[in-house]
This record gives sequence, structure tokens and C-alpha cells, in this order.
Amino acid sequence: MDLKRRLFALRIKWESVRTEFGIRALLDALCAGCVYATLAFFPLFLVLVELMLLAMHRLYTFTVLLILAALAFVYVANRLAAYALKLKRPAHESDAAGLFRLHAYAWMTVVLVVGLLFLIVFIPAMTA
Amino acid sequence: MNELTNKAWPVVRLLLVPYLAFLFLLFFQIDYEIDAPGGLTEVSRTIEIAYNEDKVIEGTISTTFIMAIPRPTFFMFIAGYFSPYATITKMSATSTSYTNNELREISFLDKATSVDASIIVAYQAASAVNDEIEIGYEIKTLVFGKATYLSHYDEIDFGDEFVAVAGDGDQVVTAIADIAAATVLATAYDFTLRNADGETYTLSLAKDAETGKFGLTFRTYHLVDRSVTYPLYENPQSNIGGPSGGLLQTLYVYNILIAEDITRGLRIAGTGTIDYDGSVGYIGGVKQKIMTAYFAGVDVFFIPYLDAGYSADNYMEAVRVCEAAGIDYEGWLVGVDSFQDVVDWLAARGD
Repeated sequence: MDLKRRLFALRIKWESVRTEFGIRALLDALCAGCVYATLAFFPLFLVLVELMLLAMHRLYTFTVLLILAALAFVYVANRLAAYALKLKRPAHESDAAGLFRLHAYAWMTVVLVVGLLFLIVFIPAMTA
Repeated sequence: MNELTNKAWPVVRLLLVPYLAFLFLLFFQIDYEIDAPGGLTEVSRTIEIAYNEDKVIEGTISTTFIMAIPRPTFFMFIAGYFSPYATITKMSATSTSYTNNELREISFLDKATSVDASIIVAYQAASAVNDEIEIGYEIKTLVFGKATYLSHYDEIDFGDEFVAVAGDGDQVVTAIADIAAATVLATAYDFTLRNADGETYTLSLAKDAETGKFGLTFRTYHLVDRSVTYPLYENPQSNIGGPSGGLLQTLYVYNILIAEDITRGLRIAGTGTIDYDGSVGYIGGVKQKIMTAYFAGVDVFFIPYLDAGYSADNYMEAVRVCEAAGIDYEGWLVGVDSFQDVVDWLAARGD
């Protein structure tokens, strides 16, 4: 029952954000967040991968660092998207930041699950 | 997007040059080679033999691979310089003339032919104690190197088999040792080769004006004749190349074919090429292989030990690495000069 109520509240939140900004502005903000987060995190990912190649005996350590970097990337992309929306309409009333935070948490869960799969299943299978 | 860009522009403008400079470090490749520690690969993952499947093998036999990084980026070069486990060397003139992809192809050819050598040596050794084992092989000459001046460079692949060359006076030469003497008068000769699919093709190869050579390097290999070999084996695709797994591959195959389990419950690793007479050959990247095995916590590590008076002998170098890293190598690091040495060492441990 509680979950149903939460989902309903989330839907109301989504409707109010969509009505206030429109789908086009939301997608534009998300795109901006992704582009700038990619620019910021791309060198970090490259650094980690190149260091990992030099220290394969620390494969698990670098995999954990890559997972943390991916989580940070998702979070920053969504924060930037929320900020871009705020810049579009500084006096907005709907809770766009809250919605993007939830969006970030959802994607961070996906990243975490995929990362754990690598740590627990794929890497042990590849290096056994 | 525009609002965020306008807002971020002063910061972006400020960071643009250092950002691009950093990306340059991360992308620009230089003609060096870095050897870094890698990992262990259980041989059971690279050679599958459907034989003695009920046999209980308590230990494991693994080859040791290192990360050999040709043409690293500037960033990797700097990081490798400060790494205590990495070794940086300038690429040899031969390696520089190849692309990274070609270097990989040569490495995989080395790996494939080392598996054949391991199978031949292990089956021959096992056939002495097991009548069921049969092994046959053919001697073939394969393309191992290509010079930049080789005509038809892209049409000849590494691993293609040399069949014949039409030499002076219409003589057909099938032995590589006779090629030079039979190709004196003209500047180009017809070479017949066979590709991986078994198709033969003929190309007219011209001699290089400067060196007087055709630009092909051949090597002679013993390759398993599957039609007279029992039991058959599979060699699944692997991302690991190079011939240095030969010794441990031989040990694994031998252990599968005989009744007794010679691993004695040990986690066995090692390195060394294997020759057709069972002798072991030197390998590169000793420091990285020792560190890899040490980090992985193996019980015993076999390494070529051919000449105690030679300062670059693999075992002698490994001892120096262990001493420098504070590793107690007694009983852990075992120098061997043949496959039989390994079998004898393991047998002595079981007595």
C-alpha cells in the first residue's frame, strides 16, 4: 500500500514537472547533463582503464574504482540536468531536482547491479 | 543545453587547453613497449581433451601471462615509469615496422604453434606409459615475418604455409634452405603459399633492390596431424598470445593422459617455451611473471634454468627479482631445463 502511494506521488511529481517544463526542455536538460558529465568523466575513465592495464594484479580494485566512477557519472549527469532546467526557468515551482535525483538513484542501482555482476560473476569466470 | 553552456563557458574556456593537453597524453601513442604484471590462466581453459574424464585432479596447472603493451600512450608511459613492477623498453626496429594488430597476429601464431609443440611432447611422453596414446605430426614452414618492402604485403598472412618457389632454370624449390641459391638470376620469382583455409595461391615476389631479399621470414614447425592422433583435443580461442606457456601446457596435457595425478594438490604455475625434444626455452618478462605468480599465491613456479653462468638466465634473473622484492623463493621458485625435470621434481615431492 505504501509503495502504491509512493508511486502515485512520483507520478504526480512527474506530471507537474512535465507540465511546467515540457518534454522537449526536459530532454534538452538531460542531454546537456550527459554531455557535460561525459566531458568531465571521460578522462577519468581513460585514466582508470590505462592504469588497470598496467596493474592487472589489482583488477578488482580498479573494477571497484570504475564502478564508483560510473556511479558518480550518473549522479553528476542528473545534477547537471536539474541545474540546466533551473537555468531555463529560475522561478519554477515543480520539484524537478527531486525527480532527477530519483532518476539518478534508479540508474545508479542499474550501474551497481551490473558492476556487482562483473565483480562476482564475469571477472572470476574470465580469470579462473 | 544553451543555458548550461552559457553558464559554464568561462570555466570551459579556462580549462580547454589543459583538458586537450591531458587528452593528448591519454591518446598519443609512442614507440615503446611496457611489460606489466598480468595473471594466471588455468591450462584447462585453453586446451580441452576428452580423455580420462573421471580422473580426479586435485591441483591446478596454470600458465602465467603478462600485459605486454606495445605503443603505450604517453600517460601509460609515465605511469609505467613510476611503477615498481613495470619494465619499459624501446620497441625493436622489427616490431616498429608492424602495426599493433600484426604484432597480435604474430603473438597468436606463437601461441598456436606452442600448443602443437606441447601436444607432441606430452603425447610422446605419455605414450611411453599409456599404449592408447597416439601422436602424429607434419613438418611445415610458415610465414613468421614480413618486411616493409615485401611485395604483395597485404595478400600474405602470418601463418601461411610455404609450398614452393619457381627458381632459376625452372627448378621447383620446396626447402627454404635452398631458396637463396635457386633465386640468383632474376629480380622476381613465383612463390606458392597455402593459406589457413588450405587454398594455395601463387604470387610473384620481387627482390628488394637494397637488401636483395624478398622480405619474407619463415619458421619451421611441427604441427599435429589430427588424423593419426588419439585422443583428440580442442584449443578454444583465447585472448592470450605468445609461446611462453609451452612448458605448463605440456605438463597439463601429460597429466590428463596418464593415470596418476602428478599435481599432488599443488597450485602449479610457471613459464618457459617447449621445444620438440622436451627441452625448455627462455622467455621475456621474468620480473612481471614472478610478481604475477607471487601475487596470485601459487605453491610452485617453474622457470627455465639453462646456464648458471649466464647473467640473463631466466632463473638467475628471477632470483634477483625475488631478492629485490623480499620474496622467499626457496622451494617456491624451481629452475628447470626440460619437461622431464618438472615431472621428476613433482614425482620427488610425492615420494
